Amino acid sequence: MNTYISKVKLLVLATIILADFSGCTKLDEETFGSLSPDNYYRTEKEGLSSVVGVYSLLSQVVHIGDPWRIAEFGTDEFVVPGRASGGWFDQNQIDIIQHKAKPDNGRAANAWVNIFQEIGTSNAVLQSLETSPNSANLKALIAETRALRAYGYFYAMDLWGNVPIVTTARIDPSNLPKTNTRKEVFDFVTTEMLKAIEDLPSTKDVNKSAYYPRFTKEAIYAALATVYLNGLVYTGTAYWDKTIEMCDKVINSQKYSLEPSVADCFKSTNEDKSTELISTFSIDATKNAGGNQFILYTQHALDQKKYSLPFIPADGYSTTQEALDRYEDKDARKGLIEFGPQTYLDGTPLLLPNGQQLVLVPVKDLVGAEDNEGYKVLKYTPVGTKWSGFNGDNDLVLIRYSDILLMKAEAQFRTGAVSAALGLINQVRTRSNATALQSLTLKDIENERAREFIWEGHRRRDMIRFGTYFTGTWKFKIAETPDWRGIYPIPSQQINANPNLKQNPNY
Amino acid sequence: MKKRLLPILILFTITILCAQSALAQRMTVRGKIAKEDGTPIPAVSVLVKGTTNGASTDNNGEYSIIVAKPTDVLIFSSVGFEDQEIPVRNQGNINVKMAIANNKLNEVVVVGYGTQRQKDLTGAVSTVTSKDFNEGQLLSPQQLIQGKMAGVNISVNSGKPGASNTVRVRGGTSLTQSNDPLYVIDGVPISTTSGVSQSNIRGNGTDVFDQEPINPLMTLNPNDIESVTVLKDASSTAIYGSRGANGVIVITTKKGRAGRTQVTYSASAGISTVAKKLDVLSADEYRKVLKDLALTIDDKGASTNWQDEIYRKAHSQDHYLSFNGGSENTTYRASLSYGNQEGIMLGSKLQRTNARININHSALNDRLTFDMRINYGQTFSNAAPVSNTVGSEQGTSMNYESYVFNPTYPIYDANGNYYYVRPYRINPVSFSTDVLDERINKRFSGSLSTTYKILNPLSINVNLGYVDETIDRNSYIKQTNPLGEGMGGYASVQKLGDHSKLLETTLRFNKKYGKLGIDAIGGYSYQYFVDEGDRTTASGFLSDEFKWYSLQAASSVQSVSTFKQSNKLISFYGRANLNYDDRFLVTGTVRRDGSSRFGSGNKWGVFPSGSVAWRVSKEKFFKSKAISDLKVRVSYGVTGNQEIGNLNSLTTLGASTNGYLVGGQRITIVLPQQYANPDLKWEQTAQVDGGVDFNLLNGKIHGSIDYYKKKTSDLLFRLDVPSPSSIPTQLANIGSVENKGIEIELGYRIIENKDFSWEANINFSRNKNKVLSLSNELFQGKDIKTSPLQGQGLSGPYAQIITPGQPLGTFYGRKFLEIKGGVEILGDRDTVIGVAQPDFTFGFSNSFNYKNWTLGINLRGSKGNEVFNLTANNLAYLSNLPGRNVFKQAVTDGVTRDQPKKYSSRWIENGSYTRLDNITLGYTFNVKKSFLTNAKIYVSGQNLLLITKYKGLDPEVNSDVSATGVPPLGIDYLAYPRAKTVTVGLNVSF
Repeated sequence: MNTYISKVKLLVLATIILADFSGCTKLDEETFGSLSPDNYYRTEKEGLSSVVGVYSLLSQVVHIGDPWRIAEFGTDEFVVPGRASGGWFDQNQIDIIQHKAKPDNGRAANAWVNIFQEIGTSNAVLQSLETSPNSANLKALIAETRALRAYGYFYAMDLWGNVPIVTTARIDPSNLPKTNTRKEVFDFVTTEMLKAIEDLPSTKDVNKSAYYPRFTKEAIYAALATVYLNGLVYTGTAYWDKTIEMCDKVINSQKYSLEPSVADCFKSTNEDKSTELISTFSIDATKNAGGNQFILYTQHALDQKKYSLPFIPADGYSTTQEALDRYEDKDARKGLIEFGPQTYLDGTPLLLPNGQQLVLVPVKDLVGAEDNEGYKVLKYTPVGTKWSGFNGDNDLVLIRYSDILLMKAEAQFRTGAVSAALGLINQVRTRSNATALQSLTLKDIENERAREFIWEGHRRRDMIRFGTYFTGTWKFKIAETPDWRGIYPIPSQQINANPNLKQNPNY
Repeated sequence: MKKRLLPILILFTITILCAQSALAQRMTVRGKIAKEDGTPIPAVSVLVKGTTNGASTDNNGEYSIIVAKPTDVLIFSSVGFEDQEIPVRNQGNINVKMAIANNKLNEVVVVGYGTQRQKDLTGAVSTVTSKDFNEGQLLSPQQLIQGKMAGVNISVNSGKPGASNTVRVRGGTSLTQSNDPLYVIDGVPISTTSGVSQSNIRGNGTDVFDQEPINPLMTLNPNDIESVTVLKDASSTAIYGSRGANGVIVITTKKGRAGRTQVTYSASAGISTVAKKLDVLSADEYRKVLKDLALTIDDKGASTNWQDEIYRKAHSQDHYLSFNGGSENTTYRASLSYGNQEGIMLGSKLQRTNARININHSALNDRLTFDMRINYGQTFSNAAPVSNTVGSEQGTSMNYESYVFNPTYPIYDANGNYYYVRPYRINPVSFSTDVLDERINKRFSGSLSTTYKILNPLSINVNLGYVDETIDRNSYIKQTNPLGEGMGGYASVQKLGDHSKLLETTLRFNKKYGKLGIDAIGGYSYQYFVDEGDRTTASGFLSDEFKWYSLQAASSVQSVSTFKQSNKLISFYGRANLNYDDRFLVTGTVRRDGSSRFGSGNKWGVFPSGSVAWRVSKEKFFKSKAISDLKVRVSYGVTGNQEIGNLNSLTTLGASTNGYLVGGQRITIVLPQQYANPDLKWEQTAQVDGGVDFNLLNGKIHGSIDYYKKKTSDLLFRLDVPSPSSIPTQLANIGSVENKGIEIELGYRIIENKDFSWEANINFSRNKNKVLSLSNELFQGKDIKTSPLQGQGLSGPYAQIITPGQPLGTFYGRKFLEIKGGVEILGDRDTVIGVAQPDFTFGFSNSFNYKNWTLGINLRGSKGNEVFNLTANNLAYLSNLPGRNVFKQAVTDGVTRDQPKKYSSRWIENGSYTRLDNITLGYTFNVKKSFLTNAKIYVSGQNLLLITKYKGLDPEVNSDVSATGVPPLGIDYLAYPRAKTVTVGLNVSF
């Protein structure tokens, strides 16, 4: 009994002592693998792990993300109808297709979030790299990040025109950014890109197989060419000579040439070996490093059989009769469009469950289309693709060499060098077995770009530059569009978060 | 079962038991125990003090016991009566009249860090003990008290087995953070947020795994619970400081009682059917409507009611066995239970196993006491894929597909395979076999509370607690189903673990100086929580047989991720209760909490409160005979809310599961996760409460009335950061919210005869919630849109708005005017179109006793709340056709097919309801001549009647449309429907 009591006493004593000594009052958080930007960015490798994150964010401008969508949906080469069988109906999409987008448009709002997240992340990474004790050795990486940020601003300027220029990682809530004019953003983009080029390596100097697909000097020259080509739209002043100058920088590097066919640029097996690709985003879903979902979003369900896909495509994105009609029959690029009766790769008919051959027809009903309505653009071929679920591994194409040739041609034509321009245009046409042109008009140049770059995210910019975005009408855009719709409205949730932002005129 | 458990228990008991005395001069004592009116009381425990020698009374209230010596003392005790101690001396016959443990006044209520008698309470506290719990088969411990208390609103989020509950004590205080109350089980506060954020594992193509989180109390058996107390005002919750703002629910489990070992066995079996189905077009109607609209019809010639195919008559059973007993010094109670519940949707079920041992021991002449409680619970559940966030494309919800799937299709094609309408429509029945989602939840909790009376009146208590919980979630989509086809089969294996440890030391001072009684405590508390987990997803299986059992059979591992986080809470607290002459009662409380979650400048917060009460009826001038007791009380205090998640005050970078290839080499992407807000601080709620407690006609009528007003400021809110920013939102303290209301609880023993009695309890609560401001020095907030719409053609915009002047749960959109020419005419601008918060809620419970029969009827209701019928908004438009079936309403309403779906007040419906929650008829057998001490059978019906104008399944559902784990109020979207359940059960003790 006694030992029992003393044991109990001991236990109580021990517990009380325990209570007193474990009573630390330290309240620091344990971070368990969450890093701090203050001590992370010491080496190039660590820096690159964030810079590639920015690339991944920017890739949405040429993937099925919203920045690409709002650059394609309002054009004459794109339509996505609601399906009678259920699916795809989205009023936001229809509003953009019909040029009726309002400030609360969900697609445009998401596109803004995506692009400005890319810009904001660039700012954060840039600030960390610049303040790193090792920043002297990170100059190329810093230049690369600046170029990425400028790229984001180029898209922001192109889609919304007047946007706030911010270069700090964190916004001071008591000093919210104000809207800059489109001209100011243009100056910022061009200055920043030129500045970045100074420290970026040239394609001539890098080991392509190890460096691909990071930006080189030439990639940013190519971007600048695009910016200058549209300078008149952005600023009211033409920059044709600058366009030519930038194109020449790329051409004179002598590192690029046209591939034998356009299709070669989009094969998952070509990629870093391609001579035509200037800027791309790497994709490899099998390594959980991005995924290309064009096939899922676009193709008809029966293409599962045709291409032995591991999934059934969702039959969404479609192109129009207008786009198809631009091609002559012998033009190899027409082969990238699927229309009419469909067959297997060996030519045997692709049959519907009812035994009839699948025949693709143009979209008739924007809200309740049958499953065979809508032509398809098939650039990212599934032949040779490695799949992980819905995700293919075809790299995403941002700029290719044929664009340099056509941009230079357009700038030359507009500055009077017609025969030089005609030569460049025919260089692009002959590659695809299209009849060489004997003479040239602006309309020819617009149509050539439309044929060459269908669904590559250029068409809205081109139609605005050539004016057809406003004056043209097509199947589901039946009225002329006022000029102020050349830029999208600032999303209302952004104006809520920052009352300093000014809505674009007329919205 | 008994044979296997008893040796273990005995062994357990012996380890902390010392030797017992021997018998000497034996004599037999007999007697009869009765109520004051002479009615015999069965099953009264009779125990010789200081020994394990005990007996209990039979149905006639008679007992006999052999005692060792004349100096022995007998202790008589029974639930609901006051204990009595009577020395034997040389009496051979001791008859006892036991007083009903009065009229609630002397009932002991468990409050934070201690107990108080009901009559001494100065704060607003509601309590329900086991004898008043809801009966029948209960899905969760929360349902024990559903509808029983004023100001405590409990609604089950859906009808699925193990569904989580939305519990609100006096309205929600927080905009976007958790509004759940703090649960304290046997003195150990538990974290209810662990695992919540991880419950939703949907992804691209796997929306089907969007599931609500598990109820944190699922591993606690309702039968083990002795009482549930809800602390409502700041005076009573302030002792829990930073976790008290949403009220505190204190759960106490049953302890053993000294005396002869008593064994109780209860069993029940139930049958559930779906309470309501939705009215979609039948096959024939579908054919006709499509023909009328000149649409192509894909007719397979069958006529299938898909809802009939996915709902079933669900069986359930429950077994519970407990032992309790012990000596004066050591008592124990142990229980074991097993339950198996089928869900009313195919494929869903829940199995539950619980074991508990509670042991109390006192030594050193009661100066030292131990209270050890150990619980282990395990649930195994299969979920039916019911997602609340179905977007626009492929079918990812079993009941959604049952509404829209083509009714002319048979279930199977000629080859016996499921029929699908490719590419989007998934056969509703196929979900039950092709989409597997199982969760195994194991939870161990143990606590040891040691109290030592150092020196009268000073005692010290040390409370140690440990909780360890693991959740294994294994999910698989078969490749034979279109959902898994694209991925070649998809498996997700997730393991989550959380554990917490608690150490508390409390010093107590309890003494009476003349008329002044002082009961004071001071203490220190340390609690540490860890959450960790890992998840692997893989696809491309050679065979569907591999599933998560053989991930190595997958051709590609899609992602592997792990995480770990922790937080700490360190507190100092003190409370003093002063009682002067049972007339004036004063309570003062202060708690100082430090949390690792907050910024360096704001880690510590102080939460004070005070209350006073005056028992008017104790005054000399008070001469009313009718009023037995009257107490008025007032309290004020400040409490906080710290449920903001971890690491929110730091700037962090994190590795994502995605990478990017450079030169063919994969680089893992590391990006900023969040920006520090070192100024982040507690949400604070200041609350004032005034109340009256009364007791009339010696307890025949008792009740209380409370008025309260509380204001929550420094609301933690995730702000949209102005762009450009790498992080789209940031947590900050902004704005304030007010709740005020009235609560009335009333109990009335209407009839009390020898053979017949009737007792009724009513409660009524009215809470007015209002957002006061959404601004701070830096941020001028106006409107915050929440609760995104879901569904094809609708997703994108938001259904609710948070805006100053309006309550939380305000619906905002266009006003519906009329249908004209086949088109919905709506107002020209967005306005407030409804409020999810009710004007008032009420509960009404009755218990009748007639001889051996008992009848309990519980009603519960809500008035003035509105519900957004998002399901109808999705399904009552002809634009769904022909791909998706529609409600009959779509045909009769007259809106033409080319009109797209629109969110408007047309879909905001009156959600007032009265529900017959529970009706139970019981019969108690006369067991006088048997070895049994008690035997009872009952039949119970749950949710048998619902009176409402609401057109959807049930107005009392909260669908998690925002996929955050916290469902917004008043949105009904594809909820797992509720069941009507009939249960028969049996309780026996011996």
